[in-house]
Amino acid sequence: MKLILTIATLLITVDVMGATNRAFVSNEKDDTVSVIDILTNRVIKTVQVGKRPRGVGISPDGSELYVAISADNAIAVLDPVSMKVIRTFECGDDPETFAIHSNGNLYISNEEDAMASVYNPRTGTLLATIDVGIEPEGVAVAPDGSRVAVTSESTNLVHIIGVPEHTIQNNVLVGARPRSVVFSNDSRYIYVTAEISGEVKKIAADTGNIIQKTFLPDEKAKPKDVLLSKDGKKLYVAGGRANKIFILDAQTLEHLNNVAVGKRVWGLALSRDGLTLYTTDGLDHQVSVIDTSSEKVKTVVKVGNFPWGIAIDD
Amino acid sequence: MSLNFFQISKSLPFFTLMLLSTFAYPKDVSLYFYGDDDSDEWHGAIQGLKEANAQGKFLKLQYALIAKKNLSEVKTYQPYAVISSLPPNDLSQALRANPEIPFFNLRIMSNDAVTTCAPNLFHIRPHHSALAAAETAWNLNKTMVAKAVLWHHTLKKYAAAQLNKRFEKNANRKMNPASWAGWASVKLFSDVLARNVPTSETTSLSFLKNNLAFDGQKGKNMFFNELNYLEQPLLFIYAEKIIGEVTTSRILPIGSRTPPCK
Repeated sequence: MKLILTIATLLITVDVMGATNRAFVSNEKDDTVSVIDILTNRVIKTVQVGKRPRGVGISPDGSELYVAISADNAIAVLDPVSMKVIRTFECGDDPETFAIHSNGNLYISNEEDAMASVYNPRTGTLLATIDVGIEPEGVAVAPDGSRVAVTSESTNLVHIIGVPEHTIQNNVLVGARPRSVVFSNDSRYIYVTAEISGEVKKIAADTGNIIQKTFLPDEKAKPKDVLLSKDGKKLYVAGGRANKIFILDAQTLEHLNNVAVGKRVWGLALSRDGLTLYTTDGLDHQVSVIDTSSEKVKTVVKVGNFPWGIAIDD
Repeated sequence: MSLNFFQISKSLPFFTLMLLSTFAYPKDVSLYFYGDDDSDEWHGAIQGLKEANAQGKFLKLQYALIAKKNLSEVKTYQPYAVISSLPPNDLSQALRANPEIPFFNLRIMSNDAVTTCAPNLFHIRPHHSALAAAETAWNLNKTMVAKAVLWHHTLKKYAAAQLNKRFEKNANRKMNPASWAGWASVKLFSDVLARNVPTSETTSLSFLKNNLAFDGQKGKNMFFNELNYLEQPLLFIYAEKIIGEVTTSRILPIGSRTPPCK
C-alpha cells in the first residue's frame, strides 16, 4: 500500500512539475516578463514583476521561475504554470543576474555591491557572500556543481569560486568588460565574452589559465551571452550590436558561422533537446527563434520593451 | 618602498631578470599627482585609485596616489607614473629627466606647448582643436548649438551610470570631464600594469601605446594615437542633455593631423 501511495505521489509530482513548454523573457524597460508558448511561438501572457527585470532562470525541479528585479533589489518568484508572482525576496543591492546550482541555490551578481551572494530561494535566506570585482555581471555554475564563475565588468576579471567553501580559487584577467560566462559540459573549461574587446576566451577551470582566445570577426561585435550546444561542440555567442549570433567551434574557438538576428542581441537560451536557440533582440523588442540544425531563424516573436534575459521551461 | 624596475633594468639587466622571476608582479605601485589636491582631477584620480585597488586586491597589486609639490622628487623616488594637471610646460624638465616614466596630462592642450611631443607624455583630454573641430562639424546647419565634452554626469550606457553614481557617492560632486580624466588616468594605467610586467626591453610606455584594453565606460576601445592623445568618444551636450556623440578619431582621421610641435 505504501509503495502504491509513493508511486502515486511521484506521478502526481511529475505531472504538477511537468514542463510548461513556455519561454519566459524579462523586459528590462517595462518591468514585465513576456510568456511565450514555444509550441506556437506566441505570447500568451505579460506579467508585471517589478522594476528593471534582467536575469531569469528556472529551479532545477521546474516548479519556480526566478527573475532578478534589479531596481527593487530583489528576486521575484513566479509559478510557471499560473504565470503569477508568488513571492519576492530581497537579495542585496542591484541584482543583475544569477545562476542556479543543481541544489537549488541561486548565485547572484550584486552589481553595486561588488559582491556575489548565495541565496536559498525557497526561504529567501542569505547563505554566503563573496567579494568580487567592480560591477559583477555574468554568473555560471559548473555542471558538476564544484565551481561557480563570476565576471566583474569594470575590473576585467573572471573569478573562479569553489563550492561549497565559497572561496576564490583563481582570478583571471580577460578582455575589456567581461559580460557572460559558461562552463563546458564536463566542467573543465570556462568560456567568457568581453564586450568591448569583442573577444571570447577559453579558460581551464582548475588552473585559471587562458588556453584559447579569439576575436569575433566583426568590428561591431560587442558580445554578451554565451552558450554551448547540447553536444558541447559549438559555442553560441550573442554579438550585441553586430546583430548576429556567432557560432564557434568550442574546442578551438574557430569561427564557423553567423546567424543574423535583431538589433542588439544579448540574451540566449537553448531548448532542452538543443534543437532550438532563442535570442533576445533588445532594440527590436523581439525574440528570434533559431533552428540549430540549419542555423537559420525560423520566426521572431514580438515581446515587451528591451528584452534582456530568457529561460525555457521545456 | 616601491620597486624601481626602470632604474635597475638600465644598470643590471641580469639582476632585473632575477627580480622579475621572483616578483612576478610588483606589490606596491606609487603614483604621483601634481596639481590641486582638492580639484576635480584629484577626486577623479582618487576614484580611479579605489577601483585600481579593487582589481589589485585580486592580483596582489596595491596602488597609492601621492599628492606632490616638488617635481624633482620624480627623479629621486621614481614612481610608476605621474599624473598632472599642471601646465605641460611646467613638466618639461621632469619629462626629459625620466623618459621611462609615463606622465599623464589631465589638461586640455593648446598648440604652444612644446612638451606635447615628449614620448612619455600621454594626454587624457583631447587637444583643443579636436574639441573645436567636433563642435564645428556637429553644429553645422543646426539650430541647437551643442558643446563637445569627454564626459557628462548624465551618461548612462556602458555602465557609465554606475561610475557616475560611485563617484558622486564618494566625492560628493558630479563627475565632469576633469574628474573623468583623473579617474581614467589611474584606471587605464592600473589595467595596463596588471596585464603587462615591464622588462628590460618593454616598459609600461610601450604597453600604454600598444596594449591598452580600456573603454572608460564609454563603450569603445580607446588607444593613444601617434601624438599620444587618447582617442575616445566625445559627447555633444545641449541644455544639460546628451544629444549626440562622435569618436575623436573620426573628427580628424589619423595621418591627416598636423602635429602641434616638430
